[in-house]
Amino acid sequence: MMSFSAVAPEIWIAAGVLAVVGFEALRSRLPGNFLKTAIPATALLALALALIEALFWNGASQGVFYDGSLVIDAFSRLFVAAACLGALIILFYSVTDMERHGLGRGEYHALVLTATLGVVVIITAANLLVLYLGLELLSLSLYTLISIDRERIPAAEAAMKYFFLGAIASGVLLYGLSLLYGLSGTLSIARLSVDLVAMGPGALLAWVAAVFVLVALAFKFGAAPFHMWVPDVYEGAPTPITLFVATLPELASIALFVRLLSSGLSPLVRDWSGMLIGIAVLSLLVGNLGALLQTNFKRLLAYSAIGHVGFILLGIATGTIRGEVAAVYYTLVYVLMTAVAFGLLLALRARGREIEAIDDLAGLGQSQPWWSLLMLFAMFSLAGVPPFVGFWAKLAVLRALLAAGFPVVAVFAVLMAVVGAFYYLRVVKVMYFDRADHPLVRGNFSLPELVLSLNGLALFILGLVPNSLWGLCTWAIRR
Amino acid sequence: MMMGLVVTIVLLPLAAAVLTGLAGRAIGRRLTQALTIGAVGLSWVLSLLLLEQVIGGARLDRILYTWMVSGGVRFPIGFLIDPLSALMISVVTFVSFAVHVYSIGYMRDDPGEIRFFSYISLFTFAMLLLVTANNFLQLFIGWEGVGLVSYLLIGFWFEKPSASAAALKAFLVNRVGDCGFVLGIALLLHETGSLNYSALFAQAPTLVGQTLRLGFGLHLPVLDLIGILLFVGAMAKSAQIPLHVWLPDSMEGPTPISALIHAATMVTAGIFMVARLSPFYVEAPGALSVILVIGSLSALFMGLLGIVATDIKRVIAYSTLSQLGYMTAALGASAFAAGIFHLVTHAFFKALLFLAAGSVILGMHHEQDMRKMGGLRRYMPITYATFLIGSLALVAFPGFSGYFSKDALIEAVGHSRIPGAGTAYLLLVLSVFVTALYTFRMFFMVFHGEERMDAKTREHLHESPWVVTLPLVLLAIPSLGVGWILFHPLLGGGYWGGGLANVAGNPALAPFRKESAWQFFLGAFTSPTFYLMLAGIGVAAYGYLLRPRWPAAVADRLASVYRILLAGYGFDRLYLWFGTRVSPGMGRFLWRHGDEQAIDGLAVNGTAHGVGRIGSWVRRMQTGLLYQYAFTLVAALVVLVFWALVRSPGGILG
Amino acid sequence: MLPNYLTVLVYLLVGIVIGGALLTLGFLLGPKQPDATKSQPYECGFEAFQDARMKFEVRYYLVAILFILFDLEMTFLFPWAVALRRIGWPGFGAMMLFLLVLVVGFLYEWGKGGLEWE
Repeated sequence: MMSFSAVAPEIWIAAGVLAVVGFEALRSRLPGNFLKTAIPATALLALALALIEALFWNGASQGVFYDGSLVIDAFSRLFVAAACLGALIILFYSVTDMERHGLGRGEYHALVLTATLGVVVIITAANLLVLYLGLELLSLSLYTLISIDRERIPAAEAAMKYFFLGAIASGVLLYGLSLLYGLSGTLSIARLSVDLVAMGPGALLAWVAAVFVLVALAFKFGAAPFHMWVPDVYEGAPTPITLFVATLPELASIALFVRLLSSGLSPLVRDWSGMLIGIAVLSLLVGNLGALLQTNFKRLLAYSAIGHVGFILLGIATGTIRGEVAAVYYTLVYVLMTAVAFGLLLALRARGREIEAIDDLAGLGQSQPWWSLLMLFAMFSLAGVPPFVGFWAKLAVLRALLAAGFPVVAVFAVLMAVVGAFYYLRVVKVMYFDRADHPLVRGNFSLPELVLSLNGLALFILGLVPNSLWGLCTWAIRR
Repeated sequence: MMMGLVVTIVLLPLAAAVLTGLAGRAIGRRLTQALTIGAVGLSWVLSLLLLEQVIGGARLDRILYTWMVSGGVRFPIGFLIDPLSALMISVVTFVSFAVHVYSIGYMRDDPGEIRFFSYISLFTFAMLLLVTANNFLQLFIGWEGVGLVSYLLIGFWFEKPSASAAALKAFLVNRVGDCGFVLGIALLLHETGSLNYSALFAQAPTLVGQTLRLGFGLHLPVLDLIGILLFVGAMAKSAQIPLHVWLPDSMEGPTPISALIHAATMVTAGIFMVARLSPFYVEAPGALSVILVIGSLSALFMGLLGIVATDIKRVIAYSTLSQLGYMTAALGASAFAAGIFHLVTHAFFKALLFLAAGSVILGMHHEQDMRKMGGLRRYMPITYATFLIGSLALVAFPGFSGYFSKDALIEAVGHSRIPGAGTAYLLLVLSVFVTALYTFRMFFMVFHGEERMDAKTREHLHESPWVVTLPLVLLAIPSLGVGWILFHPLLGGGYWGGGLANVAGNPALAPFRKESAWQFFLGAFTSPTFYLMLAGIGVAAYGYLLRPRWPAAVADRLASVYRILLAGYGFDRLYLWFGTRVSPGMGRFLWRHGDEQAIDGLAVNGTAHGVGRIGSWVRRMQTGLLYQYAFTLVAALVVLVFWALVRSPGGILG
Repeated sequence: MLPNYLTVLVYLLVGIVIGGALLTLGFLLGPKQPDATKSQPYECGFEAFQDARMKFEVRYYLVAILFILFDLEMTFLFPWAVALRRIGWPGFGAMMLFLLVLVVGFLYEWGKGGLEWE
């Protein structure tokens, strides 16, 4: 008998999409004030329900569902919960900002929900086609979201670039998947590995297919040398969308990596690690060095994201369970940290407009001590200063690297982290030591303030008890 | 039960220190004094209870909890109570108590009074932590704790430049010692894998004969190396040549501090540490030889400096150095019991001497130059009497506590078979004469002879208040009697019960095993040291009572020797030269060539430039042109596919 | 395995033959009076040779996308209708959900005025 409980989060989100689109269809017939609350409330409710479904997973409904389409296990529940929570936080942070730009209409909420749905589908996919479906759902939503502010030229340019490159990447992925299907005759990710093992080490074509898949994933992840879109999109997109692009697709990508590498393509993992390490090292290099000279804060965060992706990939590249756990841990931590940084960008305004340049933050320490403290938390955490949680994430990856016998790579990663500390600390320096020629004010940001404060404090508190989140990740991977 | 007792004893002074240190101003000086004195007094009473239990055979060696675990090393907090630590606790709390009481009078009207009481309570806590530790970590915490308070108290009158400088000097010299100490602990940890004493004692025999390869064909015996490194720490803390230079200057601190920290307790921490580790040191004869030689050299040559000093506190400070040398020598002769015995008696009579000197200084309105004193016995009878008792104990006059410990110690060194014991014995015996000379020179200069102070001072000259004289009397009693009581149990070995190594089978201690205190007392009149001591007193009496011009004439005749002694053998100048010329020169060289050129130029700025260059290169890669992005994507794909084809097992090179 | 594809081969051949025959017949039998417009390749109403970046009415797009959507809906509906007996009520429910999604989308387009030509 078919059970819908396995896809409860997806159902809630999809229902939310339908409701929001329905509201928007009836815009001319419904009072404006009602829509103004009903649409965000519906979207938030849908995500909250999905989050609750994912959180209260009792372990009974573990397994593969719908003819091998979806896999429900601890890992997918954890990541679905993280994705829903991330989307919730993003909506919280963005509502007022999007309202201000006249973009806070149903389209925005519906697209955020569909993108989240895409992420959720990718996370739970047990089948190559379902995987591709989720990926396209996510990507198409993102293309539209990035250009949702149609009047802004940079946004349109960023969306265009992302769309074009994303299309190429999708083609590459599809090609790789079709090769895999052709080789093994199965779409099931779990069965793929069995067939690949059966083919033995000589299957040259499997290698090529794997490379295609890897390249597509690396593109979605924003890893060098497939990172070119990242800075442009981060800068061009409206800040809430940038926050979305910076967080949820990363969750989806790492989930995909874990699924594909740890089950589907596991026979190839050991041979992959060279390639992965190459990509990771290049990402660390490009991300951290590229960030050094940036003056635009969102671009800085874009390069920093590339650097962090490098760290995450290093965890994956170890090919060990420990490294996988470290990568997953790092990703969750990274999402938390990034949310704080972008949330603060949304919360603050300089010269009556959004904060763009790093120098716009000058004097924040004096004018807004609490927000600047939270920004300090975010920067310290991103830089990996103990005891913030970002430190433990880096440490976990480094330890996994050492345990797996990659001391040189670990040393390189540490060096790059040191370089990274420079530009994060520069932000702190600007906030606290540079004189402001303009007052920084808080935007109209009352309700989300609490969420943002909690989010910022979490960086510190989770850093004091690093084992809690780590334990969760270990549980999710090992189970 | 016992653990609770120990923890209470140790933590009471800490509680008082924290409370008065944080809230001292709020609760006022009266309550501050009451709190700190009450806490230390209670600790003392409890320590007597503890001592009684220990004499009754109770022992404790337990880890209270594990502070942290790092890299597989456990950092424990635990206590070891055995005869040695119980004895030390009693001595420390008693002297501390006496000094607390004394300070009420001595520190009256000082603006930093509250701070002072908080500090000495904190010191008491750190010292107790040090002596009760059952592991090196805790020992080190206490070790640094007492060092910190010592630094704070030497510079207590920080507005005085000389006090600040002295504090800094003590701090720096102790860092040199710590360097060795920490290295010793680290090496120990490396060899035994544990910080606990018990682990070290258990493994020490297995480490005999093992060597540490340092490269360049250098092989060092592990045990001796550890022993010497640890002893370097003790050298700084217990002021042994050549790390003694800070102790004379430490007299810049208030006199009660000189009594408590720089005579009775803290400076004996090094002695205590070696004794504590006696089961280990007996396996390291090389280290023992070093200790023996250093100790006996300090005993004689530091004593000689006391003969020319004119500041009353400095004379006592040099005598402390000399006595510490005696103790160290006893340890080196592996007569640990004799060393500790002398430590105990010395704590009493040296604290007494310092406090009595403090009383003199109070009466003289903070004048410390003995050349401006004289004839004080008429004005300060109690101080005079107690000072005399202290002096007689110091010169080891038969019947006084110092006699039992010091003569026993000298005899033990004479019987020792450790290499170097012969020379050490000679130095120690000579030093008996020196001790008597400088002690009674001081005594006669202060209390006898003509009154050299100015008229105004003389007018106000009177005996100190009871809070000052009471501790003097309190300390005079053990200075007189403690030798009689402790002689047999401590040296005969009855008390230790195995807690201290090498008491029973040690040839150095053999003569005392059957002797009673009476027999030993009577033996004094047949030993050469007695007559040497009398000669010393005689020379002092001749020079400073009968012929006051004679010392100056001698100084003139031996001008070069006199100058050397006045300059303290030039240690200060040597260190100053090293510190201000050699070391900055080396520093400048390293700065110019190492830092500026190699590190700044090549490493730091070079890296920064390199990083910056790559950064701008990365930035230039980001052209914003879509076709270039797409090209990069596809090109990278091709490269990776090629790589896969080349590297895969079935590939071109596979 | 190969015999399974025989029908495909036959199908292919028949297609080629019919297509080829019709083209040949038209070429042979049709009247030939070429002019400039007639000899152009057929290009859905656009000029065949001009700048690729030309402007055209965005409403073409709307109509085209709507057409594709509902066209695809049909391709799903046919097999669903054929298999309805076997998949039962759950199948019916699933298709209704699918149609609901489409309807909501359609309503949205309607409500937004996407279907008004002027």
